[in-house]
Amino acid sequence: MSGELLIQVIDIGRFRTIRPALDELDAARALGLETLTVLREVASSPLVRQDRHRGLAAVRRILNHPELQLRVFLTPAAVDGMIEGLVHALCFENGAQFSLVTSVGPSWVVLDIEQAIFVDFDWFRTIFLDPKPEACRLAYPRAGEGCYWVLSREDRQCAI
Amino acid sequence: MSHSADEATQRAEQLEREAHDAIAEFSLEDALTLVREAHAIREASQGDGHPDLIWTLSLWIEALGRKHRPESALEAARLGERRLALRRTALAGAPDELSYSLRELMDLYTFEDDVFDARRVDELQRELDGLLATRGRA
Repeated sequence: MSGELLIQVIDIGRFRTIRPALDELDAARALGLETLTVLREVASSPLVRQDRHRGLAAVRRILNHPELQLRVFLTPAAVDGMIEGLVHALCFENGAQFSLVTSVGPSWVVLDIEQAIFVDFDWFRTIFLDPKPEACRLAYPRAGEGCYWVLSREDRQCAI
Repeated sequence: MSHSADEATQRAEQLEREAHDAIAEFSLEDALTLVREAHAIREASQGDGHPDLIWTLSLWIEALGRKHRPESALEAARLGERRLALRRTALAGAPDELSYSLRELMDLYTFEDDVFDARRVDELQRELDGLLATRGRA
């Protein structure tokens, strides 16, 4: 997408809860029991069962060999992809699914910068006009186009 | 581990983290510089057979792959052979994972639609077939 931003609903509390597990996965060493519990949870999610996120294929491989350090048998891209899939499956509403055909869905909205009619709204300026501060960046996923910035609001949390 | 070896390992870890970030940001030349230094540090401080080198090599291979050039692909395949040799030891008790490693190396010998060492890919395929047959009988 160019000139457009995808805004999705995230459960930021859930993200904070699994953050230690994400840090441990990112380190790509041997995993502790709590992280393995998170992986077992995601392994039973519909995203894995329906093969909707390719990155989550690595979860089964890890659970088959919990004794191994991830860095020995997984590539950095595989670890990044798994972390992205895990955040989508466990933290995002509707598994972070969206459609480019429908700009407004049950858990997402696509905003176009051409919709300048919104320019008086704080949230619109925050999204399009303010430089994206690193402090607002969601820690994971951290690679490439899969990055998100958190729009904090009192009544809900969204990520773009 | 001695204090200086511990410091060297920490330095290599830091360089690898920076290389990982640089790959994500497509700063590929920076990533290659960082990962070469990390590799040299690990080889000097931990020895050339240490399993920690696998991750360093994986980062190196990933940076080369993203350059998407034939000469980079060739270098990645050469590094992939080193990584497979290390994985054979590290994954001795996990033959299913060794299968993935063989497939990864076969992929590294392919650039776009060209296989630049068909004989080697055939060898790897035969080894993979043997591994799968053994697992099928188990």
